[in-house]
Order: sequence, then structure tokens, then C-alpha cells
Amino acid sequence: MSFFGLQQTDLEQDKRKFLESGLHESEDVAVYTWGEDSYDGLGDALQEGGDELNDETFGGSGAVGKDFDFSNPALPEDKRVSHDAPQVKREQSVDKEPHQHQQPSSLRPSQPSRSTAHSLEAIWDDKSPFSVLPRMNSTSRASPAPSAKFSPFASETFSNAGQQSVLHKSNQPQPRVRTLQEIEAEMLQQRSAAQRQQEVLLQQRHHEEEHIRLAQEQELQRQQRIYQQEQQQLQIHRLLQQQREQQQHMRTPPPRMLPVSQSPRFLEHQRQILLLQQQQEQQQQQRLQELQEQLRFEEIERQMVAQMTLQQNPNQYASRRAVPNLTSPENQVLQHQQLQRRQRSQSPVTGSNITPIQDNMSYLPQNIQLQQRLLSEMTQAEYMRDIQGASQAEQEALRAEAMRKIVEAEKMEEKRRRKAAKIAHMARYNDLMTQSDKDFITRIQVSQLVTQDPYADDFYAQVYGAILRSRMGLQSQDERVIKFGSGGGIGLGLAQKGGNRRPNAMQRMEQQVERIVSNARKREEEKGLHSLHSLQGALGKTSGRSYKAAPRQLLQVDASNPSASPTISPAHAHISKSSNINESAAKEAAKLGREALGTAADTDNLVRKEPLTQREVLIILERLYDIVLRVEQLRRDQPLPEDDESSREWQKEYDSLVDELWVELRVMVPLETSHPHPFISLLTPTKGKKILPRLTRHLSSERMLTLLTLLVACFSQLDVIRQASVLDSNEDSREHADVERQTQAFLGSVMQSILPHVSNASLRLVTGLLGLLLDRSNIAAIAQSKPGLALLTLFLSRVEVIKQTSGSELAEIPSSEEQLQWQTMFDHLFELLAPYFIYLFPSTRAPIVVPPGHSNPADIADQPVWQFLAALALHAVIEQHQVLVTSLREKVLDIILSVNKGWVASEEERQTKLANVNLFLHALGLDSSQVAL
Amino acid sequence: MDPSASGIQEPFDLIRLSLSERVFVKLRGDRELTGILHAYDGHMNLILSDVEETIMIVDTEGAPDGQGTVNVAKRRMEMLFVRGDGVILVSPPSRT
Amino acid sequence: MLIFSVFKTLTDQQVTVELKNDLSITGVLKSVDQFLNIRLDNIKVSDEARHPHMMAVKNCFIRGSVVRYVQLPAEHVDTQLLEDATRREAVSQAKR
Repeated sequence: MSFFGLQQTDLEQDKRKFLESGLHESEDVAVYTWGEDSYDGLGDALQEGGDELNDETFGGSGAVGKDFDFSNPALPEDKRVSHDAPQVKREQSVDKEPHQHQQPSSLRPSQPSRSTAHSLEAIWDDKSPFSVLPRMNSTSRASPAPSAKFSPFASETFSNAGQQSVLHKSNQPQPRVRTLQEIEAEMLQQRSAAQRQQEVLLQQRHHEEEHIRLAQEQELQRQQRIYQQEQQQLQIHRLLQQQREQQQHMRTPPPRMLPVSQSPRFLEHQRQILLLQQQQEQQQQQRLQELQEQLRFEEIERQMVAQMTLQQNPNQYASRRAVPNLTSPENQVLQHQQLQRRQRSQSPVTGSNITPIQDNMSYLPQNIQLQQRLLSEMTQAEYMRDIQGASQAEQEALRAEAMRKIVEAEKMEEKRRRKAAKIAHMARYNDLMTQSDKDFITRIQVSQLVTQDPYADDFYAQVYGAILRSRMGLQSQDERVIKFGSGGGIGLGLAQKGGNRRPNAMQRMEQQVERIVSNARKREEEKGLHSLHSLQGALGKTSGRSYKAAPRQLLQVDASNPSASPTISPAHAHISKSSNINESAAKEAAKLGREALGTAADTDNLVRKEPLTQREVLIILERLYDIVLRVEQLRRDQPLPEDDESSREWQKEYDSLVDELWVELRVMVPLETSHPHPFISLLTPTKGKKILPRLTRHLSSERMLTLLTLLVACFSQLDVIRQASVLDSNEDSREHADVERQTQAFLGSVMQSILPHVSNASLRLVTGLLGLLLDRSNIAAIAQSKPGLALLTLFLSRVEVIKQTSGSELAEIPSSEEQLQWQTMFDHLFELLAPYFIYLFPSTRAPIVVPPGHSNPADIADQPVWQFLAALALHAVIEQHQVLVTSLREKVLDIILSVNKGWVASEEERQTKLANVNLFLHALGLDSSQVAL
Repeated sequence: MDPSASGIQEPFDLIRLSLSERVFVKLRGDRELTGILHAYDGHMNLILSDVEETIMIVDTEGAPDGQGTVNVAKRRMEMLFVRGDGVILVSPPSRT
Repeated sequence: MLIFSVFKTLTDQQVTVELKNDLSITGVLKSVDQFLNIRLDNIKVSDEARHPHMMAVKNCFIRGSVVRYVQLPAEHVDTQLLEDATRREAVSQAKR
């Protein structure tokens, strides 16, 4: 320590000295003698206040008053607010205490105007009215006379003073060498005495303060109602708004809900509670502060007044103020009450502190100082009144209004409380799930139902809806495909009445889910790709063949038989120019037919097979259906023509599918491969007939021609032709029904599909086809079937159209040769059919016994026959007409007779009959009216 | 025959061949149906048209030795959905 | 999903549901779900006498598993489309 410039001390030396010779004052070592005169008094300079409460705070103060009893709830727990309120009040009261005690201490330095005697002890002086106050409260409880109280205070002050004097005794030479223990014992004694006194004082102070606090609490409560007229209403509004906002966004969970740490609601709830508490605390602290300020003011005023009263003559004061007789305590009480009321109306805050004192005054014995106090307070009241300058009437009015407002506010609060309770009760199970939870669940559910490709899972509904819409003539919207969502999720059907808002939400959700699902799928694919493809071939290509077997042949010669179906050049109706007109019509027809077939009729390289079995037929048909479905789906997915790349690809795919279709259709199979031809076999089942129009839609006209030729060539092999006679039986058998259905299907599907191509056929083609038909089939049988008849009628009408339009059309003018050929063919046909004209009629073939009064179905069945005959007549020459007439005269006459004679059941029937006959007769250039009966 | 044979790989393919054809269906509860099959699914739910249902009612009271008369109740329905859990078998109609 | 799809198109049509306990209920098909549970409105039991407990019932929910038949209106069913849908379903089933 020498470098600090200090005296170097030798520790060893000092120790020896100390131990040898007792303590000397000249020793350097400081002997700590607490409280000793040698004490330098630094501790005194320490401004430390509030130590009076130390024992109480840290325990050992004896009975705890009810304000400080934290073990039991202060108030009944009916509402949450009341939960907080007592807590807050307790806090408040706790808060107030230090404030109160700080008040006197803070007041002290801030009151330089006071007399110098007002030190810490002066508060407790007899002279101060304030000092009387706590004593009064404690007196009301405890019995000892107030005078007795003075002594503890006095003794306390004395002891305090003694303490301080002891402390203040500085540097008094007292040659008392006491050991530490002695010193400590002394200190302890003094301390215990002081403590005891302090305890007593504290207790008294406790009681006083309790009273004050109680009174102030009561006042506070009253204040809350009064004072809150304007301010707290606002606060309530604010709170309500806040609560409403909170309810909108996040509702407070039900009180019964257990705090689940995972639930975000609980945290919010806690936060809200904290917020509320904080707000309430803040509000009450504000009020506290205001109260305290007012208290301070009152104290100042009181002390001022006290000074005034002390200085003045009380009697003079009394006479001046014209105060009624003060001696009687009752009057005093009355006066006090009046004062209270007035003060309350004027300044409710300021009067509050006076009133509890005044209330308690009624217990007081007669005391001059009391009177003085009363006087002072009265002057204070009047002083306040003067300041405010309000008249008594106005005060009453104000008071009344205040009361009214209070009542109203209470009522409103009550109502609001009831409403809130009801809402809370109803909503006690709200918000168990957050919106995100609900969205999560909804997304799961929707993802189960949403599909990437609506056609995949919901094909029927989608297409059916499209069909319906097209039938109803509605414009198809952007997409023909009904996105999931408009169906409502559950099968609520296509009809929806008022769900306009829901589809939007559903659409949005569905879009989101689709995105998520597609992303997930892509990710999965990528994962799969990455895992396999990226590693594949990374180590180089390893051979895939086992080495046990023989090495792979470089040349693989397939010992398969040559293809059964040799490639056929498309059939052209090759009409040789060197056709001899002199050849018989039959030969001609045959020749033409064969030529029409081209090389298809070539029997070289023909492998005769058994006709396809039913199972085979079905298998092939199903395969055809698969292809057709794929084609149709492809057409739906057709890319825009602007996109060249994908268009080309699409076209390639489309073409390959159509080729597959063509092959499967077995049209190119040689004619004589089997009987019936596979193609014909395929047309046997109903679904075969039904698929044809869907197929032919995609076939080129060239292929269609081939198909048509084949069909005509093998016409007689058709099941409908072979079983046509069943229809004549007119029974109600299953077979009959089946054949009927098949025929209908044929007419509806097959004939429909070939219709457009025949309608555009050239004369040459029609001629050839007719020849083919005549050559390869029994025309009589054909003609007696509905499909055959339909075909013939088709041909004839086409030629008629050609004939009629040949004048106007420049493109397709048949040469004379062609026309001649046609005529030849026609004659041939006529020749073959002539003996069977009458049997063409179903009614003739199967005469139906119709009970009188019932409409004859035969007329409707005969209609196609009449049409055919009319068509026939159009091409016929005079001689043929004659033949026609001869054959059909009786029939026609019968019908006309029945019409004229009224042997008809209904007007409709008559019309039908007439129409039939006239159709035929007009073609002949005749009319039914011409017929003379 | 080769390309045809590869067509049928599982029993449902056989049923598929019968689409649009008349089939015979045997159901639980001594019931039989014939109708034109239009739709089916993996549960053997069926949609048939032009259906005739035959319910076998065995009358055992005819003779004590168990030989009872068999009555049938027939019904016709235009379009019918049949739940798959009652279907025992589906086959082409017995060709006489 | 095929039959579900079909039933979706038949909502607001009158159908007759025959249950496995031989109860036949005619009503308007209101909704259907993926399990083919059915909701019917304005129901009428075919044989009232045998099932008097249903007299007061206006609307009902039928669990799909207790259905034996559902008679459909033929004019609201497109058989061709049914068959196509079945073929598609069969193809997609085979793929899986």
C-alpha cells in the first residue's frame, strides 16, 4: 500500500498488539461499535424511511387485519370482474399504504411554510388535528381513553428522540470499553424496547389506517358510481368496443375450458385477461392518484384552516359564522350531515374524506379540539362553496340529476350485464376450433372428393349433364366439364336453387385443393423419378440377359404363316369400257358387282375360317369400344389449332387410333373368309350395331366406301335379314321382341351411319352397289325386310336426287353411259321384284285380325313399302307402271274403299291410308280421287 | 384366336363382354333376375333394364318328407339397380 | 364412383327403394353419397298395412348397405352412356 501513499502497516504487528493489550482508542483498527459514541454518525445521514413497516411486511406483526389477509377471499366471487376488483382493490389498498406513509414524509419537505416544529414528530403532536384522527379511530375500537394514547406516542416520540439523541450523540468521549457482546446486548435491549413501541404504534396506525382505508374504500365505491357518470361510461364504452372487437376476431373461450397449452385460444385468453386487468389497474391507479392528490389538497387546506382556527378566537369564529349551538352533539351531527350532503353535491371527491371523519365524529366525546375541528371543516365547506359560487337550489338540482344519472347508468349496466351473460352462456362452446383447424378438416374432406380428371371418376354425371344441357339448348359454358363443387360435394344433383354463394367458396376451396393435390402428385412423381431414373444407367448399362441361355440370335426369322389378309387395293368401281350392252342384265349386274368389290373377291390366298364365335365377337366389340372411348376422349382433349406442336402430335395419335379401329373392324378381311363375314358377325349384337355410327364418324370417306361395299355385299348375312321372318309372326315372344329391337337398332344406327355416304354417292357407285346387292343376295328376301327395304329405298331416292339435280349441278353430271347402266340395273331389280310386290306389305304377309274400332297398325307398317313403291314408280317406264298397277290394284282399291266407306277407326287412320295410297299414285301420275268405284 | 384370348384376363372381363346383352343374375334370398346389363362396378352393383325378377317360394307343407312345391313370383321392372352384396352370380342367359 | 355418379343425375326423381327386409319405399331421391346412402323425401311405403310404423314418416335416410334394389326411371337413364361409363371404370380398375 505504499504506492498509494499510505502508511504501511504490518498486519502481524497489529495482531500482536491487539491480542496483548486490549482495545485502545489510539488503535488504527476501527472498532465497530454500533451505536457507540465513536460512531461517526454516517448512518444518521442516511435518509431512510418506511422502515416502520418492515416488521409488518416481513412478518411477525401479530394479528393481520382483514385487508392484509390474503388467505381468504375478501369478497364473494360472483363475477369475474368482481374477481379482479377485490384483487385490484387489495392491490390498491396495498398501494395506498406506502403512498400514505410517503405522503406525510413527502409532505414534510414540501411544506416549508409550516412551523419548524413540524418535524417527523410534529405529526404526532397533540396539536395537529391530523394526529387526533387516527387516535379517534382506534379509540372507537379499543376502550382505552385517548389520553392514554398520548403516552405511547409520547413515549414513542421520546424513545425516538432518545434513539436519535443517542445516535446524534457524536463523538462524546465516553471511555466505555465494552465488548462486542455487551454492545450488542445493549443494542438488542434498546431495539426490543423500540420495537415494542413501534409495534404498538404500528398497530395503532394499522387500525387507523384500516379505518381510513375502509372509509376510503367505501368512498371509492361510491365514487365509482358517481364519478363514473361521465368518465367511466366512456370507459365502459371503450371496454365494450374492445370486447366486441375481441369477440369478432377472437372470442374469449368458456370459463370451463381447461387451459390446453396447445390451444392458441388459451394464450389469447390469458393475454386478454391480462390486458383487462392492466386496464382496470391503470384506471384505478389513475383514480388513486387523483384521490391522493385531493387528499393532499385537503390536508393542506385542513392544516391551513387548523392554523387559522388555532390562531383565531374560536368564539369569534363561531359568532362570525353564525353557526348554531355547537355544544349539542346531535346538532353537530346534523350539521355534519348537511355539510356532507352539500359537499358531496358540490365536490363529491373532496367531501369524501371529510365525511368518514365526520361520521366517526358522532362517537366522539365533547372536546374543544373537536369543536375546533368541526369549525374548521365547516369553514372549509363554506369556503369551498364560496369558491364554487353555487346556490343551494342548483345544488339540489344537480344532486337530483346526479342521482338520476346514477340510476340510469346502473340500469344500463345491469341490462348490458344480463345480455352479455346470455351471450356468454350461448357461446360457451364456441371457438373450440380455430378457423385454421376448420380449414384443415375441410381441406382433407375436399381432397378426398376432388379429382384431377373429372372424367375419370364422375364420367356418367359429367357427360349426362352435358347431354341434358345440349338437349335443353343451353349454351355450354367455358368448360363442358362440370367442375366438382357445382355438384355440392355430396350428390345433391345438377339442380341447385339458391346456392350461389356456396359454389364460390367451394370453387375456391376446390381450386386450392386441386393445386395442393397436383403439387403433391408432382412431388411424388419427381421423387419417384429422381430415385429411379436419375440413378438408372449411372453405373453404365448392365446386361439384361442371363448368360445361362444361348446367346441371342441376331436374326430372328419368324416362321409364322403369311398374313391371312393380303393387302388389298382399295376397291374401285372399275367399269370397263368394253362392256357389252348386249349382255344379259344379270351378267352385267354380276360383273358390275364384282368389279365394285375389286380384288376383295379374289379367292387367292384365302384362308377360310370359322365364323367368329359369340365370345370372340364380344371380345372384339369390347376392344372396339375401348378404342372408341379413347378416340372420343382424345377428341375432347384436342388442343387448339394454333398450337402446332401439340396439334401435330395429337393428329398422329388420333390417326394411329383410327387405324387401330379400322383393323379391329375387320372390314379388310377377305370377303369369303367366313360366312358370315367377321364384319357382319360384329354387327350381330346390338352393341355392335350401336357402335358403328360412333366409329364411322372417324373414318375417311374412302374407308367408308369400302365399308359400305362390304355391307351391301354381305347384306344377306345380317341377322336382321335372316330373322326378318320372325317379325311377321306377330307373336309376343321374347325372340320377336329381340328381333324387333335389333331391327330398330340396325335402322337407327347402321343405316344412319351409311346414309350420308350414300347421299353423296355418284350414280356409278349406286349402280354398282345395287348390282352387288342383286348379285349376291336374294332380293326378294331383302325387300321383305325392313332394313332391306330401307336400303333399296335409299338407293332409289338417291338416284332420283341425282337425276333431278343433274340439270343444276355442274359437277356431277352422269354420263349417258352411266345413266344407261342405271336403267339396266333398275330394270333388273324390277324384274326380280315384280312377282313379290304384293308380298312386300307386312299386312299381306301377316294379315292381322283387327277388332273393329281399333286402329290398324298395318298401315303404319305398310308405310315404308308404299314409299318404296313410289320411289320405284318414279324410275319406272310405262310398261313397269302397268306392272305395278296390275299387281297392286286390289290393294289400292281396298284401301280407298275403306277410306271412302268410313271403315276407319279414326281420322288419323284415314289420313294415313290416304297418304299411303296417294304417295304411290302420285308417283304414277295418278291420284286416289281419280279412282272410280 | 390369339388376340381374342388375351382379351379376357379376369372374371370382370367376362362380365364386361355381357354389357348390353341379356344376362341372368342369381341373388341371395332365392331370387333370380334376367335383364339387359348396362352397368356394373367392382362391388358387383348392377344396373339392368327390362328386368324380370323371379322369387322362389318353397312350400314345404306339401309333404312331410320335405318335398314341397315351388312357387314362383315374378315381377317386371323397366330399370333396376341391384346392390352388389346380394349378387351370387352373373351369366349369359341359358340358351335353350 | 360409377353408381354414385348415376345416382347424382337422378336426384329429384321418383324412385322405389326395396330394402333387404322386403320394405319398399317410394320417394323422391334427394341426395346420395359415396356409400350410396340415400335420402328420400315424401316417402310412401308400398304396403302400408304391413309397416304401419312408417305412416308418420315424411322423409328418411337409408343406409346404403340395407338396400336390395332401387327401381329407377328408365327415361332418365342413358343406357349407352352407362355402358361407356362402365367400360371406362373397368379400364381404370384394370390399370390399378
